[in-house]
Amino acid sequence: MSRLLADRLTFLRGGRRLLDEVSATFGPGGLTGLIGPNGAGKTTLMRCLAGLVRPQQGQVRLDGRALADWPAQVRARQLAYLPQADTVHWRLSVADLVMLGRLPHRQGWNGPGPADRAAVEEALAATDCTGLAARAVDTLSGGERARVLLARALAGQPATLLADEPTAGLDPYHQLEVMERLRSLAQSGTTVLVVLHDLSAAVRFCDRLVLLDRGRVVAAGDPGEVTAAPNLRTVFRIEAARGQLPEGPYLLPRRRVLD
Amino acid sequence: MSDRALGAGLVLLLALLFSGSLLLGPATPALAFLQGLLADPDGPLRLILVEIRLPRALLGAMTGASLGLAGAALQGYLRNPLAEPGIVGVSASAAFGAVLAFYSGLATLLPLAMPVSGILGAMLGVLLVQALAGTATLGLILAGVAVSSFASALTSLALNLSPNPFAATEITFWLMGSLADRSFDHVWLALPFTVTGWLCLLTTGRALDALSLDEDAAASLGFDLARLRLVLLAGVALAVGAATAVTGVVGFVGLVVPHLLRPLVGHRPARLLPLSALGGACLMLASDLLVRLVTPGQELKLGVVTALIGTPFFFFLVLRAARTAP
Repeated sequence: MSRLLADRLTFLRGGRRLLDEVSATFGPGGLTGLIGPNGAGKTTLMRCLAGLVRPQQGQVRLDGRALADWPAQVRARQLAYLPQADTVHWRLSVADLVMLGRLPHRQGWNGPGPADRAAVEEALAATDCTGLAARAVDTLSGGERARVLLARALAGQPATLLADEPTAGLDPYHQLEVMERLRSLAQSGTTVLVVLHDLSAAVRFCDRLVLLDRGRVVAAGDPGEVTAAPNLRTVFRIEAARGQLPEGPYLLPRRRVLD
Repeated sequence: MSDRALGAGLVLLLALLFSGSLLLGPATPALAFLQGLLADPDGPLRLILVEIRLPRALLGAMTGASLGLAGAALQGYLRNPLAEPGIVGVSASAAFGAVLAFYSGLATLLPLAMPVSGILGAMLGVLLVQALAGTATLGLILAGVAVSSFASALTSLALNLSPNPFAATEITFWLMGSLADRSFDHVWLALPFTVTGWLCLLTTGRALDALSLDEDAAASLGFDLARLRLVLLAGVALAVGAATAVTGVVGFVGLVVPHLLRPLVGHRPARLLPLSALGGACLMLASDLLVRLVTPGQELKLGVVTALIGTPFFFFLVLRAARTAP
């Protein structure tokens, strides 16, 4: 069980307020989605939550302890971050790439042990990548690559997973697969926060949404309420059709709202 | 090929080249040399072996290992297969330090002044690069180029103002890089810096592996990238600074070796480190043997040979990079 708390985070860069007193709590028991238009501060918030940048004001707490006070390696075992459009710089094999997720668990000069290998196999299976294990990363399609990178983040078996647009560039089949995987991960006790641009996926799969606009939290809570028509109009400047399928709710952007 | 087999193969090759370096020479064939040595263990051949060839082979192996290891570490850190020790300004500033000792006459008063001031030059160069570079790797490359150009300009200035043509010639020849006429003094002087540098560089393996992903992902895996850069640049300054200070500028070893070995270790940066050290030592000893055997009369400078081997290779890499660029 892991709880991540953002307490009045303010992040400035170049005189601009990328985050403005953002407070939110993320815990286990359901999938949390972070939504907002381009430039709303979603990635900045994720980077603050992952401890990669420090906000000028406010504090991030992981399990009650300020993130900055965690030893980096211990923190890395608890909290995994999957950056948006992560690049891979060498022609690693998929298995070696996913094994990078085990780095926080390894000590000394030893190579990976049986526990590491088991975790990698599990992560590959969970993302439908087992068959890719021996392939070189640069031979993968965009979708395969996104799944492999998710497997990398899962291989560390973190208590908290922060994923920045993990479904970008995936075909519908694998979008559904990744979202289902994230939701089942969340339901089994992992704290999962996912940045999504696809509002339909957000209302369909998330148990809770946080809506960010110009560095502020505009709404948080039930996906239906957060994506209510007034919010869509003022924040996203769209109108949407919505409905209910046996599998869950859906939301379809219909038209732009012209000022 | 498994990493272990590859490592064993490189150790074997290194042992062969090292023995070759001890036995082969312009004066007598290897077999005759060995026979003479066995017949009269305390004769003049022993002197040649111990006082001339052994320090030369040791220095070759040491500096080659430093260049290979530093090249692999820098390529891993900058995530760029074209990186090599020269790129962060180490070679040029070490060369300038050594030239300064020579030019000021300090080197004639105290033979060890040249290597010492070479190492100091490398340290200063890297400190300057650290101070200039921002947090991004591109900043590091630009700072390296700037410091390199500055150090080269100062070296040229020293040559320009040199009191007599002989001094200028001597400096120029020294800059070309060579293992000739080195003694155990050079080995002992370079050894502590070299080994400290190796230790720094060998500890960076895991962080370099993590950097196969982006910097954010590497940091989220628990690696302190600011500390990594400090350790890595210190390691490069120590190992390459010491190497340059005793052999002059020997380029391209740090570029070629990691590049050749990378596909054989599944492109993993950490695995590449120790193997590139071995490979660098092999390439250096092989080049030095070439220098000694091909043109025994007028010895080619080692740095010239490695540059002649290395530049076509560099052309090939640039061409390939240009073709695969998006």
